[in-house]
Amino acid sequence: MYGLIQDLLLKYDKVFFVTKLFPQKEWDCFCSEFSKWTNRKAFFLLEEGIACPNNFHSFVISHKEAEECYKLYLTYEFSNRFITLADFKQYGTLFHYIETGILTEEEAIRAMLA
Amino acid sequence: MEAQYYRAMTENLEEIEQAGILENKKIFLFGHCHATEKLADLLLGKGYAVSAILDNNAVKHGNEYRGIVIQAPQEIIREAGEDVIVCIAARAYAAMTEQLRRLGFQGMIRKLVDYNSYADYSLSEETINCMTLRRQGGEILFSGLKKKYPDCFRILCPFAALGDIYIMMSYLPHFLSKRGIDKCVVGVIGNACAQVVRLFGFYPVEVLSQKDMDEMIQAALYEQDADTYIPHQDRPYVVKLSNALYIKPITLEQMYCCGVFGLPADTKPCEPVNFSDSADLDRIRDGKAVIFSPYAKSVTSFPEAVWEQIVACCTDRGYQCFTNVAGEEKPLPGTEAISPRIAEMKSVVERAGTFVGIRSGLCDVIRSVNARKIALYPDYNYSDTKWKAIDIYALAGWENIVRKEDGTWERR
Repeated sequence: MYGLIQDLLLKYDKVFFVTKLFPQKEWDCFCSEFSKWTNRKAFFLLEEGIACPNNFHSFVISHKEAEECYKLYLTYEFSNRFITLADFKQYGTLFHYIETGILTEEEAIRAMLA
Repeated sequence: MEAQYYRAMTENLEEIEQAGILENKKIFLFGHCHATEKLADLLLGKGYAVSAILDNNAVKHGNEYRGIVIQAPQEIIREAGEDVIVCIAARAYAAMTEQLRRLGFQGMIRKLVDYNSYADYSLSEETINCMTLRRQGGEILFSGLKKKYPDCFRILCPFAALGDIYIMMSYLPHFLSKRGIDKCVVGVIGNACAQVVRLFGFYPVEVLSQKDMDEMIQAALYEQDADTYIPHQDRPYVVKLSNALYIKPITLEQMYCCGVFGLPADTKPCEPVNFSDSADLDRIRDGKAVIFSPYAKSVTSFPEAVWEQIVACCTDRGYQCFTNVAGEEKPLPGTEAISPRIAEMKSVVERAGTFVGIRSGLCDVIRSVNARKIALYPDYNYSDTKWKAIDIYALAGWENIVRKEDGTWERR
């Protein structure tokens, strides 16, 4: 798993790790906004059960691999280009800005992609 | 810049100097921030020339600090790697190093101060083992905290900044109420932050070192502990709230109220309740004195002449002048030193009648004080965004004044 992440970080500007915890509504919005974000190379590591548009560079990983990947992400920051999409309860997230009217859904996704 | 980090930076610089690493090298710095300016001061003071400060914020390109131009990191690839050293005194050391390597820079890169124990941009077995051990150390500390406060929800504040702690505390009761939490313990770094927490009531407070806090937070994250919350706008690395600033300006107050805690934008912040009177009040002429606060950890200070001018102006008008100092800080010329505890600041400023300070966390601590309050802002951008510091930090009910690059003042 670590080797795969290392290779992806060498080849791509950003690697998005999408867990099954990430709300479906936000994921749909993310996919739609991402399609407008064409100037950088990105790869999607998808936990099994999550689908993405056909034109995304992506790879599906098992629940066990996703767990391993998530634990690694929570052990230290090994890259600022590895972005994990989940549903975080321990700290503030950009979704709080949507809920409170500070950002629209599109703006929050654009912020995530920034 | 905190004294401990400044000391470490000075020692690290001396070490590489004694090892001859700086000899015949073109020196570049990366990341225009307060710490980098301090590093530039040290280097210039030792007689070294600094070729440029690299920075990703295009808004800053072309500006200068003490004659050192700020330019895009891409400029470094024009240089022959073996003749160049890039010195970094910024929190994003790991990301900056990776960026330079991806640009093709082969020269030497040196970290002058270790601000960020969460990051190591490597997936080598050695790094993973090392970071796993760090996290496991955090698990022991975290387990100790849970045992010490068995029935308490845990609030772990990752950064020692008075302003952050003040604003966080002013919204914390609403957050706890929203979550149905009765009791909590607040973990902070350093005694000054603990004093700020205590302004808001009798919360149990655990004072930790930066290292222990980092490791404990890492453990809490790893365990996905549902009874712990990390209330900060951009720390540690998992928190991405500051990305919103690439889209629009958001005030610090909104960051905490809405971003950190998810509270409605019209939530009224709680006021501090535990102020006390300073024993020094008799020294201060009632309503005819000014408390100056010229020092801040993370904000570039004004030239001494600027403060001297302001002090002279107040003295001429018959005001008694004080400088709020801590530790080794010196009072401004023509002023008396005063060092009230945080809980006493309100009494001191209200007695004096006027406060003039660089916009630091201390301004947050006295934001509700009944006096004339003037916050001064250097003309700098907030982090790597296009917004000015005043766009993010302006205080309601205060006179907010920016000192422009050309030395003129602009009221907001």
